[in-house]
Amino acid sequence: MIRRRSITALCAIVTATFCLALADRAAARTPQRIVSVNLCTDQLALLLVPHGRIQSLSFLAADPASSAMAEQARGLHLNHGMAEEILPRRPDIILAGPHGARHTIGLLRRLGLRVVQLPLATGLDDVAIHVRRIARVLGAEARGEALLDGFARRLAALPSIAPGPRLRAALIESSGVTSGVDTLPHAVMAAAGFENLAARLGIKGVRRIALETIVATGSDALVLGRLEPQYPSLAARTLSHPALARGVKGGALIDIPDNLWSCATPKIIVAIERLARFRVEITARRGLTQ
Amino acid sequence: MKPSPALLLGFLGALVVVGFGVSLCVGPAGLTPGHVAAVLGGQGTEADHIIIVELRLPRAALAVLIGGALGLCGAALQGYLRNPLAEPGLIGVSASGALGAVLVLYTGLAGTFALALPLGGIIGAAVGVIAVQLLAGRGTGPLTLILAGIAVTSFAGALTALALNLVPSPFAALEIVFWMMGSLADRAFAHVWLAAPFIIAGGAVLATTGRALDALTLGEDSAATLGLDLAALRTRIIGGTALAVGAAVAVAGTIGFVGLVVPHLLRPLTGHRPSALLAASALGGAALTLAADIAVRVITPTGELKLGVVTALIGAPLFLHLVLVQRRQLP
Repeated sequence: MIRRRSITALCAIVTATFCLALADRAAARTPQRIVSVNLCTDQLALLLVPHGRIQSLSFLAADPASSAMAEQARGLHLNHGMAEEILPRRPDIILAGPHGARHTIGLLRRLGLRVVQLPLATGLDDVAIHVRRIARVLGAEARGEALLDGFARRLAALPSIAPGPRLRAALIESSGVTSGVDTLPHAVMAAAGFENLAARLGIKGVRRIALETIVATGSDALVLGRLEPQYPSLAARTLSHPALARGVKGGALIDIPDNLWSCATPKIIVAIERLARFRVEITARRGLTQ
Repeated sequence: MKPSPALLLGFLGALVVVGFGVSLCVGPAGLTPGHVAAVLGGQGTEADHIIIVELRLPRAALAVLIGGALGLCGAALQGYLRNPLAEPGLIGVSASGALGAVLVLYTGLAGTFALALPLGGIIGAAVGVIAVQLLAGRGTGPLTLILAGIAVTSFAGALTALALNLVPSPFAALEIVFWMMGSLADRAFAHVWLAAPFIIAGGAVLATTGRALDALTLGEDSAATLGLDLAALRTRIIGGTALAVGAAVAVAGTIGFVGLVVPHLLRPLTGHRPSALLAASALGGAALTLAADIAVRVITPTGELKLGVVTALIGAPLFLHLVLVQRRQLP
């Protein structure tokens, strides 16, 4: 009886040790066959590892309207988030976003594949968090830190924001929606020194905004979150309503292509720099006219 | 009790005027009626002027034009098909008009010349009317017409969804909702100028059909002996409906049930004479659409609710009622 028990215990210990060893090896092994099914993890993979290690990216990665790195994604295999496209690539890691392809991800997990999901980015802190997370799982920590250093340096070099009330900017994106608190466009506008009208109106996340509201609240600047290149659509037409351009003081308008701020990658600095320069321009123009 | 025609038209006209005024006073910016009047008189800030003149005025004007077109087309189609369930939205004319507009817009053709959008809607609507007519014929009973309408509506709707899914825009799914439910949110005067000439032309054509429709109530044979040219009437009904509904759908999407509800409510007041019903339905349609568009903005000021949702909420119960009435009349 005692002997049988000790044998069982011994087996358990041996099995556990074996499992731990396997897990250790899996973690230590750097993924060489990376598949990404999300626009943001696509771009992080492109930034962090050489092309040779990427097996497949989502089709959006190569779409210039959605992706800030469409050029770099060219020539790579593209997927539409379907298990049938992903499995033949024999991935050793699958990078995914918070939404979409829920059933696919569940299926891939049941098949024993390693899936890493990034949560939705809600602020600029997520740049460092997302880069470090993906860099760690891909074994590219050094590259990740280098990217983050560059990002931090450019953030520090932004034109300074004068104390006191900020210029207010209204953001309208395709389809007539705006982005409020807890969104990347809001974080970008704040970092560039603007007060976001949507946040002032108490909007959280992405919501529709009536053109009338934008005109009535009288902002100092209007930020158009266009898709570029523009596909013919109703969504794009909303932004060309004549009332918009005329409803902003001094007609201060700027286009920020949607692909610049849809993901928390270090590339988002380009959007911040553009908006910050725009703010300096408006302030200078105001100073001259006053 | 039947009011005199002049009294009825005067009352409906007053409703449209009041609805138009209220429509100018409703919106998220919350300006008082007195302030709106002052802005229209040339006072107020530039922002107020933009809100009233460039955002609310085109919206109210489109509600009048499109509602009028839908009411008139409903009355004309019901008279011509001698069927109280005939309505641009129910018999697939609106859906096929939307398909035409979608094809023109998303292929980029509408960007090359502006008139392409209403023309696409008109051609689509014409194909829809002709298809329903071929499928159901005239005087074949409400059931055949509704079945033909469902077939055309579903087919056009499916093709619209297919076209939008093939488009690279990430907003395609959202835009399917617009084309199927309709909206007047954030329209500009450019939309008014684009749609108005065609809607007015279509309305003018339909307005000439009154006497022929009156003759038709006696039955086709009797009407023919009175000298009614059925083929010419058909051409005018198809052409007028296609022009008015096609142009309306091209700028506002599919707004259902207006053409069903309005003629139904007004028919007893016009002595069941199709000719008297036409003008009354045009005014009634304008008033109902203005009211529905005001309701949209009161319920959701930021404009998430689609206009077609409200008209369907009003119209669908009436449609069910009509179906029940029809069932009771069956042997």
